[in-house]
Amino acid sequence: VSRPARAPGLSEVELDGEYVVYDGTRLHRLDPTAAAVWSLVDGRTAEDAIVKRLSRAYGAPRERVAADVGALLAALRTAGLLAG
Amino acid sequence: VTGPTHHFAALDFTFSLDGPSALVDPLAHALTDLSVPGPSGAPYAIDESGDLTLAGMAVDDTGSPDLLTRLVRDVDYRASRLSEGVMAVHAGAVVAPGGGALLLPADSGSGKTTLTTALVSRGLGYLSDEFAAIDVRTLDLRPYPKPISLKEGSYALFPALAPYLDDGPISHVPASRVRPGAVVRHPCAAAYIAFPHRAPGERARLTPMSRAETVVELARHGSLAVRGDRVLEVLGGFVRRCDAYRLVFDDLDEVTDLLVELSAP
Repeated sequence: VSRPARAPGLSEVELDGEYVVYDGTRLHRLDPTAAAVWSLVDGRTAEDAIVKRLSRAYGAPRERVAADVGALLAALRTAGLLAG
Repeated sequence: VTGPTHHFAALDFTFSLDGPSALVDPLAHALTDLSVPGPSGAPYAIDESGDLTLAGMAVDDTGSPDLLTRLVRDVDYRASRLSEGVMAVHAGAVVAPGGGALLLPADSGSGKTTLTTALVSRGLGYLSDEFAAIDVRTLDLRPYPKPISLKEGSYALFPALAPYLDDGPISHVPASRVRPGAVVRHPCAAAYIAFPHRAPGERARLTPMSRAETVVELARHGSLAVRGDRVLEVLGGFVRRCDAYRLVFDDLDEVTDLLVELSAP
């Protein structure tokens, strides 16, 4: 089961529903959609559970949300913001 | 003839300037808005041949076209390094009649200094240009009234400043010569941030930015590495108090009107 976790050593600030994350070198802006996923990335919540919660919160089809969450997690991983 | 020692303060960096009157007086005049009664710390000196030293060490900057530019750049560098608790942002900073500051962060060549000069001449107060100083404790902008460094291409826009402009590619004009009483001597909270971008033929317009977008853009113009982990705390706190915009413009009068209107009480 995939339980995405934040990379160590990050700092972040939440501003009006968006996040800015600092990895010690660069700042990353997470728009409201990415911020919604990021707020559930805690190393304990499974990817399936993230999809379920967001699907319920936004009243969107689960398949579509799953695709979006998968793409966002991949982008966060590429940016070095996820552990592992 | 050696004249009196002049004393100055650039944020927390204090310095003196000594040397032959013929060489020192024009520099001291350009730095007049930074004058303090003294005593001051770092001793700059100019010798008869025009060489600039600080505590006996040569101040080298082969990229500077003249002595004053070399001195201004060296002072900027030391003010940035020696002022504890300051985050430097490459920006102009002016103060609206209502007391809120307007920050204009931009790359070199974007028209930032021209815009700052125009706003000061239109009645806004002067905090700084090129180097805006955020106090990381209070999140206010600290005054650093260094001379405004106008480039040759802007000279014709300010005919009233002709007596203070050199023949060279850059002139350093005290803000108090742009408008008497323009210099603001106390820290100010920022109320607006506008990121100017000159676009030929475009009408002046402001496009609102989100605060997260503003933090990222502001960091691009700031001394990010200096503040380490506190950078988000400082920038986040700073932008929470401001409305921020992208500013596209071409005509100087039009954009000045727009910003004067934006910052009106």
